[in-house]
Amino acid sequence: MSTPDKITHALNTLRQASAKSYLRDGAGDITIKVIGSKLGKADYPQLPEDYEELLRQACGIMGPYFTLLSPGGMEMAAGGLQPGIVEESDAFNRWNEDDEAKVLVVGKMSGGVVILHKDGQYHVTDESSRDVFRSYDDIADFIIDTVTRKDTAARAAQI
Amino acid sequence: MADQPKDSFNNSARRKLMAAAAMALGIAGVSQDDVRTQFEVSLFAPNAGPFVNGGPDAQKNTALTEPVQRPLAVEEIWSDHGLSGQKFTDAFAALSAEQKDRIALRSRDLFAQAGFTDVMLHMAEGKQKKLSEILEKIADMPPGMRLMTTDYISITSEQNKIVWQEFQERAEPAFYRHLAATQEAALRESGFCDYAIDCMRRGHGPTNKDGIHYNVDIDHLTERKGGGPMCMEKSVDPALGGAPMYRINHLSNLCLIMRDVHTQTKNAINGLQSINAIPAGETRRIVMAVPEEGKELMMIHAQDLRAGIQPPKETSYFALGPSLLIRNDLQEMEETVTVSTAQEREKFFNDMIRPNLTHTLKLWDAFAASLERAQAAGTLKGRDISDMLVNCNDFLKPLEAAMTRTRMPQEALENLGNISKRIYSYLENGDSGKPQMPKNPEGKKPHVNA
Repeated sequence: MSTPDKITHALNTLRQASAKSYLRDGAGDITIKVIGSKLGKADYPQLPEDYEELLRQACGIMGPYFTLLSPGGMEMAAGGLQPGIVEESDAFNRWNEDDEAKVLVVGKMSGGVVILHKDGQYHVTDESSRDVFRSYDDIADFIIDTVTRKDTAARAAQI
Repeated sequence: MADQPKDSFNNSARRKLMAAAAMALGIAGVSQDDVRTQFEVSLFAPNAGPFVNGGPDAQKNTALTEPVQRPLAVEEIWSDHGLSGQKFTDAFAALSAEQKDRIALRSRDLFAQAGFTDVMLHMAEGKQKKLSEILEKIADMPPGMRLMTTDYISITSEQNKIVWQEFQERAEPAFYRHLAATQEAALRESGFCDYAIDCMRRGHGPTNKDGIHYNVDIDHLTERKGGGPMCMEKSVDPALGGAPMYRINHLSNLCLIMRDVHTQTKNAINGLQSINAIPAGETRRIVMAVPEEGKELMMIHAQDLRAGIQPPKETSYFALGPSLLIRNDLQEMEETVTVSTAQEREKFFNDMIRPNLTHTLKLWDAFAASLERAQAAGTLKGRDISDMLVNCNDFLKPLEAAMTRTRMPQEALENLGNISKRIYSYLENGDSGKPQMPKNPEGKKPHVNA
């Protein structure tokens, strides 16, 4: 399956999940260029190809399963503002040692957990301890697996 | 009344943006003055409107409403407990007078915590930047939270993973269901809609009917990786029943907390103490931010968040950071894209600028409303006007110029222009004294401490 098809499939899985998520419209070319430039100037690695494709199909996702960040901010329910990729990454990397490479934060989950992209993989990571809980080769796998797990957990809690 | 609970979420974002503004401007505090002007005091008046710190907690905190009569400066109090020297001097010097007052007021409770002095001495052995920042975090702690010392007993990464898995699979959905079943009235009061409460009833995180998440998270009161035996031993959760769970995941150890309080206060204080570097099996005394007694299940009440989180001086302060962020993104577009169609620019606006601008307009609009009230009360004059003109000249005008130069959609330009006209009509009609020259922060990069 091609990357765009895999992303489409993952987003369809999310749309059909038991709880609703908010998927923004796909990003345009200028947005993709601008985020690339912002990342470069801030000494971050570029977005992986599949995340760029995700942004082209949904420029940020919010919901009960996870938040996948947008190049800009996203308004939250009741008026809060979710900052964008560079701003969240800056906050995460703020206390790095001087020689430590900056890592890209692309998402968040409940319980103080962030989704990082590092060494070619997506890592579900404890924000406090930096322990890695799960790793995925691509963002589509992360989406499908997380939705499946959380829906299963929510169903089990109702029994 | 209907809009009031929503402020818990709006104010939370505003506090985040205040931090962004402070960082963008390169300043540690917001006021160097002990005595406020009438206008500043009016911002904290109980009936001044929805964007003003009017909650009962604000009234209780005299540090927020009137000059404090201090028998001892915070430096003296801390020095009496053995916390002195150049690093502490520098750290305190970076704080505003008001921040120092707040630490002074908290000092008695802080030094009553076993080992607090040792924790601070340990911090002073490390980087100056971290000591300075932890003092700033102590000063700016949101109402409803307190600091306590505790032993962080580190477990292995493998065990942390097992504990998190159990949290995600069992504790999290059970916690949401428990809140929906037992705290429905408090949830509504805090601004959650029917749909959000229904999500929780089904074991999911709260969203509105469009699926957009609220700005909340679940916090482990005793840290998930630092609970030692609590992370190793299972027992039946008295509130939940069923199969035994790790005690760290029991409902009594979970708290629904504003997401940015979780990140910017609790996790930031932990991060500053480098808890991620504590080897498994080792114990270290740390200072930790926890909800006050009675708020362990939920720390999201609107009043708690409304009180004390606005900086003194003026509400325009909140709008500075996001205004600069938008301007930098527009500048990035100018530098990256030389030719673009109106359609492409509108798409870029919707993708990247609109949410930030919508939010920023709310903040500038709130500022305009506060000016209107101050003018009506006759408290808008002198130093306030000249200071606010500087901020508007440095941030609002350049934002308007950048939006116009990059040919953003007409409707957005008009909305921004209308708010700007309102603000300047109040400021330019007042008695501002000497005209101010803009500080010109061109080229500065904002950093959002999210």
